[in-house]
Amino acid sequence: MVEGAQRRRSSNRPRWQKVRRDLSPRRGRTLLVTMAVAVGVMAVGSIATALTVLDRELAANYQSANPASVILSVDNVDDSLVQAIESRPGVAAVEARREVTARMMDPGEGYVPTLLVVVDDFSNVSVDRFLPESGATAPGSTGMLVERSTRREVDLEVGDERLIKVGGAEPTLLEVEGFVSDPGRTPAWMTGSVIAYVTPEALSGLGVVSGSVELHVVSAETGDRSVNQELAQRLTAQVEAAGSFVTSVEVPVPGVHPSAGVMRTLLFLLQAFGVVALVAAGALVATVVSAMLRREARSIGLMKAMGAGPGQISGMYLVGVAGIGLIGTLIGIPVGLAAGSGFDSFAAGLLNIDITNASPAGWVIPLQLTVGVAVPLLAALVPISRAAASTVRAAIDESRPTPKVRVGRRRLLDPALALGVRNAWRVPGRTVLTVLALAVGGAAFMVALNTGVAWDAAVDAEFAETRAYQAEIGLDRAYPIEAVESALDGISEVESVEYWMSVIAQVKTGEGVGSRFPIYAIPTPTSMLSFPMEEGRALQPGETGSLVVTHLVNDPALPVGSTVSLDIGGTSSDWNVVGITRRLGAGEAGAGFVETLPPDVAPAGVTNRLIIASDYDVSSVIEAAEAGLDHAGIAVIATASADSGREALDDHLFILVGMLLAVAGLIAVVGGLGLLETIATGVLERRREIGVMRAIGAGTSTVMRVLMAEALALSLASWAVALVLSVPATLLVESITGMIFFEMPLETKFSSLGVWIWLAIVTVGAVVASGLPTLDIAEAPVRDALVTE
Amino acid sequence: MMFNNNHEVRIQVRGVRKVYDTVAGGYVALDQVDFDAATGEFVAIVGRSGSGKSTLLNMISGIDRPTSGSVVVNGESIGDLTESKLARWRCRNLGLVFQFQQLLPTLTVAENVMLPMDFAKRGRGRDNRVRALELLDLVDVSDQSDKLPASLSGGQQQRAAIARALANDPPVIVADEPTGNLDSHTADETLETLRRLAGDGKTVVMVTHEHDVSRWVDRVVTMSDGRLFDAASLGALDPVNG
Repeated sequence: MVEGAQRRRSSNRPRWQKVRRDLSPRRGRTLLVTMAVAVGVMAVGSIATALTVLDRELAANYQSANPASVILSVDNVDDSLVQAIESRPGVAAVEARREVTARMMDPGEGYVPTLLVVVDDFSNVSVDRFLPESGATAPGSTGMLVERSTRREVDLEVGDERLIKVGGAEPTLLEVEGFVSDPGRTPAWMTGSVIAYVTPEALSGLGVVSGSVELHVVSAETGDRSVNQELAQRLTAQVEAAGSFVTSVEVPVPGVHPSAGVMRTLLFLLQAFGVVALVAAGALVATVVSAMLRREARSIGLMKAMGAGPGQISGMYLVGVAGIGLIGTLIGIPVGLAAGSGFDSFAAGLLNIDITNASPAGWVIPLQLTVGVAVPLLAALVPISRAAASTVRAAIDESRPTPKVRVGRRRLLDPALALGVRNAWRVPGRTVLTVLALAVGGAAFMVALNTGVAWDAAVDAEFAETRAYQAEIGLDRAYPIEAVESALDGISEVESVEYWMSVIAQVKTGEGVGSRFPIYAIPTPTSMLSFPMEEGRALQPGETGSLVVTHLVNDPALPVGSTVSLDIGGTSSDWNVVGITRRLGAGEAGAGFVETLPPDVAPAGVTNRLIIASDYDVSSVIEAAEAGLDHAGIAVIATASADSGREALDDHLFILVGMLLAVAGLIAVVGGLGLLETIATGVLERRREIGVMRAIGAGTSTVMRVLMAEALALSLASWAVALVLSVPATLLVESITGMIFFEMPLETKFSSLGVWIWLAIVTVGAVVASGLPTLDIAEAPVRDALVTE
Repeated sequence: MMFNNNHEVRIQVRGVRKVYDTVAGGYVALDQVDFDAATGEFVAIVGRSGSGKSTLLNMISGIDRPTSGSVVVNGESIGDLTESKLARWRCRNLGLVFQFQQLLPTLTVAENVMLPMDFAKRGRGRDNRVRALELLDLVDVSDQSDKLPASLSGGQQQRAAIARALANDPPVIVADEPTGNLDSHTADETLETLRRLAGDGKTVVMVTHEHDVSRWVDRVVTMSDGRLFDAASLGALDPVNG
């Protein structure tokens, strides 16, 4: 049925009746504007929801673990010492635990690194708490509980049995009796290590009878690290006065999750792109609202001619725009919240946290209302005020915009294309907003790919260029190099080996303890590793007492040229810091390199870490080497391929770029809607012009060519602007991402692929955006087009 | 033919000049135009396209403002009014009829007629509807009152637009090419309606391409190159009241 033929009940207040009917969803144009507002509100809402929920829940999850403020590694501890510490002023809670490096057999994959956390009483865990997830809440003497994030790395189910091997002891089967979540730990996919919880009895069953214990202490002043450092000093003195020996002291930054770097990167990027989405949504809404008002120009002129005053006209259209904004907002809010919650669930899975409260912060819905209602009103204010205050003639003329383009003398394009290109600039304000909204999406897309390329280049530089080895093998203790050489002799897979020593060192400062990191004693020069220097120089042959640290140590007590006192296994020694080298790695806290360790730490000619270069398959190299070592009675406690760290970093990259692309896609949809709206409005405004063209012989293809040329001109302009915008945005995002993640800016890289892919996307977008609204008019009878004015 | 003999001047245009800025420079649309229309008079302004006749109508209706000169309608010098005051003045004093797209497409015919009353804050809604139906009956389209304009013929739309122009009972009706889009029979009906309104004491000024309107109008004036000529000076028309 023809709409106009319907008999309607007339309203006694026709002014508001017009507003109400203009808002009717049956009016396709109104629907498009409403959807544009909804998409803008959705984009802003989803990002703000994701941001606020993740930020809050990360902190809540970490705090729910009651994380330790001080961790002391002690050679042995008895219950009376634990009780004495617990009753000490300034101590809120204390718990003694052991953490043992082991390996778990993953069928088909070989042994994978495993951390065994030994818990005395699973029913009474008060510090660094973990929560039951499924299965048993406490394991038996032949079982274990496994941290749930492990399941992303190793296929495990309750009831599965796995061989666990600690040092040189015989592998023993332990059953997976349940899963727990440990919100205070770095997720397993980041460290590449299985995390399992066992009883002391189970540990004994694995052949471990002694070892150091960790005292996890929660300070009463948990928020102040300097207070915690003083507490650590007092506790160290107390433990040593009781006859025990403290091998290391760790004072974590309060409230900062161990994998906070990843989380901060995600949150920073969400914040940055939230602002970008806000700008793009605002530009889209402004574009569609001003276009809508332009279409209403003739109605405004007519109403003014009837005697409508500026206030009445403004009131009608402001109420109308607010109505459209409100409807769009009401659609966009729930969709945005749902999309944000979906992202939160995804991110929570990655970060191994539980979301207990999925509600966004209180300001998110007001922000969405602002974007959905206030931005359209602000965008509409100028055109409405202008139309309301203008003369009737000017208002009517608004419906026929005059081209404001310069026409060059030389015509490089054929007339149809030239007309299309000029049409794109008929209404400069609208064109600028359209181009801007689309360009922001394009820039976000390019930044995502550029950051991926820069990340990849940094990781490539680290793994392909600085590491010449393929496998690392850790031994349970130091062995004479001759014995190890002999064990590996004749193993063809092991083509080249360097014998390193690794120990844990802790910086000693006047105020107490400083950073803690591994130190590797390596042959100088080494053929396995190169040292890209950030500052200073590399180690030189025969250089005793010199230390090179990686930039990740990032300790102000270790500037190049300084002398630092290190506590290594209870022995203090002084070292000259000669250089800072760059070394990336997932979850790495930095490291130091020396040529020789003090004799009382490690005598000359011993090794506990084998660095192997080989052209053979890495797993076969590790398997063959381990078999040889085992045969010689040399216990292996850890094996790793040089690329295992890279895989973890690649996982980070996948998440980072994936998230950037998702947000870029969202912004691109916003920009695409803006383009569609602009072309559709332009077509509507020029129905008569198109009718004239067709009346003088232009075929459908010619008309389509003109309109597509217009859409392409806008798209190409947005592509060029996106390219320009992407340069500073890339520099910023690459720099901040690198600093947050690697504590160094990523080397600036640009992806030409991103530039060309975006060009293809906007070209296809232009064809679609011009094709849809022009199909009907291109085939409409000439008379219909001509009489519209 | 009956002509109105009341000579009270209701529209007085003096020395009006209108210059539009164009890319090619200033374009003189009206050049020192003087024009009067009396109470109950039906005046037709004719002329070629671009002669300035619609511009003159725009000056009389306050749709556009003169570059210089004065326009006094129903005792008000409208060139001095702000847009707000002009809108209020138009509500009370002027009814406008255009050639195309006169009615707002999302309002019914009756609502279109009621809209000027709404803007003028005139009466209660129910009273306004009664008046709208009376006016539609006057122009013989009351049976279409609750339909949207798209379902009406061109002639019906034009008559509904005339009813709308009468909504606030203005003393002056201006019509820009009201018959330009109509067949001859419907055009005659429209002109007859306007003639009747003049007979009721309203001043009607109409711009038209049609020269053969002397049956209905009291006077025909001609515009050419922005200047106003009476019929005698051109020797082409047969003006009634000079």
